[in-house]
Amino acid sequence: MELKEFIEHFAEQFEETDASTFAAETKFRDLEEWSSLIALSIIAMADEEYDVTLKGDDIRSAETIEDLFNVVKAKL
Amino acid sequence: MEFNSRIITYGDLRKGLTFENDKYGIASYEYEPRRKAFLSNPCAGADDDVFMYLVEAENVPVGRTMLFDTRIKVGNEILPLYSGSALQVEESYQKYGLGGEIFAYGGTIKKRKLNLSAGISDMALPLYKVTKYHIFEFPKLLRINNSRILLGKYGLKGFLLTTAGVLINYPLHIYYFLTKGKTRRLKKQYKLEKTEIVPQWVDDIVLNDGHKYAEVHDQKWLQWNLNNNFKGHERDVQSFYIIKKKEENVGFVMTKERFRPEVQGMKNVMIGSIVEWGSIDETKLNEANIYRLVLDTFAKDVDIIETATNNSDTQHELKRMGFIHHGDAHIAFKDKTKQLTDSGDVSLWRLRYGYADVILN
Repeated sequence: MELKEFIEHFAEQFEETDASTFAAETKFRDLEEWSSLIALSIIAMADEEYDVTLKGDDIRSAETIEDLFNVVKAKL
Repeated sequence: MEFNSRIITYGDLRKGLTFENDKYGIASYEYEPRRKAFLSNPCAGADDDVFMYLVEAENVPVGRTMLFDTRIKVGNEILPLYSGSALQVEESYQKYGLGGEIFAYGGTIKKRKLNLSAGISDMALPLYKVTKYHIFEFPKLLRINNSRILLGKYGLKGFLLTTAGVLINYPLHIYYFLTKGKTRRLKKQYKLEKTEIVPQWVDDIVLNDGHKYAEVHDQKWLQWNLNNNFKGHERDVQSFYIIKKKEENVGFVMTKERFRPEVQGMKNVMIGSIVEWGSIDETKLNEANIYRLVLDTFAKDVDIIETATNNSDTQHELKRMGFIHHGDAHIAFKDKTKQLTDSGDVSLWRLRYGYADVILN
């Protein structure tokens, strides 16, 4: 599981935010487009791409995209 | 705010449940009729399958969804299909985004590769869109039998309400009578026979109507829906009719009637719905004509008759019968296997208003 690919998958869940915005250190909750619906799509993405079940607490406890990547990786 | 989640299984449901700290009625929602309905589902889950996913705040249930099994026909194959019901978050907790998390849970259960929902609320629809379900949207149409419920919504009361109701109902029903010519001719050819036992031959109709995809509404599924509903109100009934031409069985139609204390501002409403139908030969007995035949079977106190169809000819005919377009019905399907690559093509689907838990609700 690669961080670069995870960032790409993460960015695909956003429709209005420029792809260049997303990096490992991006604090995703600070993004203007961030919402509970996007959180849902991230949960669905983790399930479909990595076969990993994320919970709301997992997302709430992560600050950056890399934090979330590490959560997903730990569950593999 | 700390939240924790709890799973209630079908095994727990079979043993019987008691609910503590359920001050919002989230966990015990419609408990008795839903317990009966879910456990008598011909596809009822195994003991370790999830019945309810509950989210609690300080041990108080604040959100839940219920999960149940059904089946899908894909060509000649019948596959397990999963659905959800009664997704709800207590209003004061909606700001925490729990609805999305609860919704997501159902989709992440490993064995749930094919998922379907129907009767989706406007609030829940974005959840399906963002998780890339195929969403089939088709018109809901309704016919007003009793204008008093609408007039009451706009504040009319007492003598004024009664008078206005008569003044509007009278020409409305004259119109309905004048447009019944075709119905009268049909009734000379076809008879509806109400039955408590769904006949086995319906399988030949529902499983062989030429569509590749359909939620399996075979005899077992229809009987289950005929025998159960989620509220258990004394006035909530389901009816199944065999359509006969002379002595030959040529089709079927299923209806339900529901009492609702409040619907969209209208109080104490009786709603009649046409939820399922089938015809051995749709070139001879089509959907619109089945609706014509069944309209008079509803109880006299039914205020509104509604249905939904994705057939534009039927929509046109319904409007001629006095139905008006009123919102849309939604059916959402997701294939996590990604093997059913044409499942987003609505023309391949046998769609009905009564999908998933719509008839039970």
